[in-house]
Amino acid sequence: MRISDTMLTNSFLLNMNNTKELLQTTQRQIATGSKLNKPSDSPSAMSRALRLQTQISNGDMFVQNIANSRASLQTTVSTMESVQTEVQNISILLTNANNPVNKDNLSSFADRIDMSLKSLLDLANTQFDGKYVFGGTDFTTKPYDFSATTVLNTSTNQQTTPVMQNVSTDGIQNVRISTNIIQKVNITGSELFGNLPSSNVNPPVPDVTKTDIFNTLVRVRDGFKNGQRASDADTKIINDFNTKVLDKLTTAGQVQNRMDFTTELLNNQQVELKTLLSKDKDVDVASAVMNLQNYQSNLDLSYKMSSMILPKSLLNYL
Amino acid sequence: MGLSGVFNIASRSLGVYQQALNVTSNNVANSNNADYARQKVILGSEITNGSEWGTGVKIEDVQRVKNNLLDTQIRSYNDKYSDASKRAEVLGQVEALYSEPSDQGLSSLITQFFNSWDQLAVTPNSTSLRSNVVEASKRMTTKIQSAYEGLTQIKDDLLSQTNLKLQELNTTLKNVQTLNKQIASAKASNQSSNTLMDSRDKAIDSLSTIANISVNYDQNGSANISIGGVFAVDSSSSTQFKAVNENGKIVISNMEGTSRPALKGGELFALTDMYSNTITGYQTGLDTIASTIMTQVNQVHKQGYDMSATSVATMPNGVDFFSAYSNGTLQINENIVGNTSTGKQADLNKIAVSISNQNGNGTNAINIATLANTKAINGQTIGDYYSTMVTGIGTEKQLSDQNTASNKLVLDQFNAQKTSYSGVSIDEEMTNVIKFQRSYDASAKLIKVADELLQTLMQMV
Repeated sequence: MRISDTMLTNSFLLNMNNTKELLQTTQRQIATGSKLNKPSDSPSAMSRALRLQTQISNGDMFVQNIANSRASLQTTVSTMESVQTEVQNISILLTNANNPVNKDNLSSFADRIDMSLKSLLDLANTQFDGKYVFGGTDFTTKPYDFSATTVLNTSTNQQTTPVMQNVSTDGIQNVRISTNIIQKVNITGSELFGNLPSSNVNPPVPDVTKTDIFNTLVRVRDGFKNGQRASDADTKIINDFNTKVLDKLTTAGQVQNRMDFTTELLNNQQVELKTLLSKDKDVDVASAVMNLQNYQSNLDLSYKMSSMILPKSLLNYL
Repeated sequence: MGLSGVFNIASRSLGVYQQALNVTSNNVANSNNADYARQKVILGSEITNGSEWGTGVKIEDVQRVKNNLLDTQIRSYNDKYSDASKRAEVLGQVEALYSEPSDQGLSSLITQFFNSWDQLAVTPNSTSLRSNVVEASKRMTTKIQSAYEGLTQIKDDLLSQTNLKLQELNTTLKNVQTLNKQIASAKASNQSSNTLMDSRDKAIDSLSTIANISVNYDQNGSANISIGGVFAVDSSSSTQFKAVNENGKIVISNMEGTSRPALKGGELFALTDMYSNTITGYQTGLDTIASTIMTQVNQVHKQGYDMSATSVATMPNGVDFFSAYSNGTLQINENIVGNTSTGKQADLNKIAVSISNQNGNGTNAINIATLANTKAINGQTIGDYYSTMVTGIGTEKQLSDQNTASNKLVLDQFNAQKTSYSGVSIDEEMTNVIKFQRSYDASAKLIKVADELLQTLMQMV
């Protein structure tokens, strides 16, 4: 084959350029730490990477959603624990009131029931992060309060102020805690306290005969004031309420457990997804550096060789 | 014939070798001229008229060493190579527009948009989470817009490059016609046309990078060229081409608009095809994504209640979340984000998160968030459709890169063969110099010998 001068320079330039291209690619991979910098680097890895990134980002969001709703659920649980303590105090009070020794100072029991009633009402209106935990899905209106108008209690023939609810408290707060699971994260007021007479009806119809815990306590208190013991029916309501609180505490605990479990699951999933993503994206630095050195010495060699061959021609010997 | 014959032969050969040295020095001078085909002196013996010994040497021809078959091959790969490399170049710009895979990519912005609704569902009346939804929407719409505008920019570039290429094409065609004429007349008057042919080959090579051409040489040595089946140039006339915009597509035709070359290679094909089909296709993809997001989100959003709802009986009072989409611009309803030019105030409470009249209900937000998993476009989710699109761009770019590399490999091989055949070798030329110099020396010596012979003869007288 006839070798012309341009051939030598061309083939030198061509090969040197190839080596330099490899060098540049490896250098970019090491510098960015990623071998997937644009879609054309590997289209198949790209489509996996996009999917994985979406899943990771969703996972982060679910974990955050759970953390946020768990905090409000925690408040719900501790509030219910206080409610339970209060109700147990009331039960003890009622038992004491039944003791014939206390027959004459029932009015002092009335005061203590009144205090319990007010603290129960206060607990029922507990707020977390600006929202009423037993207010269903109405975050702005205080759910439970004494009625603005008094009514006549027919059994005692005295005026009294019943407790009413200002909003419907049965709204369910739903939170998505994983792609396909939507979890109810609140204990609604109506679940726990039952339905009270509504102050939203115009004109309001206060009712002391209602069997919810608040109006029962109002009745018991008014009875004590009049020297009457709590009726068996009212005692039963209070004991039933105690059971209900326990029941709801269990439910809330289960939801908490489920959230913890889901968080753990999500965290494990995140680790797995990130490992998978790393396989597609991250550079094996050790082998990249080895390659870099390899290309570097190739380049050195071709410089050396060309510096020996290219300047020479017959002219050097004439 | 006598002694004068020696003088004649020797002086003729002095002239011949001087001429041969001229050709050699021209070769050396052009050793770095890529378009130059080396020339070779063909020596022949002078025709004798009955003389037994011959009458010396003459230059038969100064031959241009050129392999026409190789030229044809190189040209046919030129158009493939320049087509692929142009595509690779443009697609490189296109894929950069999407900034994938990164947090700034549209994929992650779409995910963030839907996730922001999920987050809002946890605390539906939170103002900061409501504005988070608006911010996420703005980030997403801005990215769609910038990608769309980037594509439009690329299309503008392609159009102006097409016009530049056409100018180059038209000028080169005229140039080839002129050279055809000159070569024919040089041939007719038996003059050397080597330099003219070098220039014409260079021009035809550059034509072959612009479009798919086919070249035929007629008996006058004129090159007759057609582009994609349409006559382009011979020795008497040349066609001028122009670009026509037809329904958003660029079509190349002659000035009269009567015939259109069927382009299938060269830079011109890459430019017009990318403009008419590829880039427009990517824009349609963005259109599909944006308008699907708009209709899907609006449909759900409308069924919700905003913060002002006081009674379930007032029916869903949600407004459209997105108000309009056209040409890459996805607008968020000004009732929600406000409008600085009309002075309309932003009202985040208009975001319909609830499906009841209570502000703590987040079900509608959850419904919007689950749209991310709805198979809304041809059985694909919005995210999957986008991912398929970006992967498609990546594949296309990778393919163009591979085509560029493989065609370049072939071209490099052919070019090496071409330079092997036509390129100047200094070693060879220097050897020739020595060879011709020696012959020149010998001829001069011959004259001296003949002179001495003559002197010897004169002294005898």
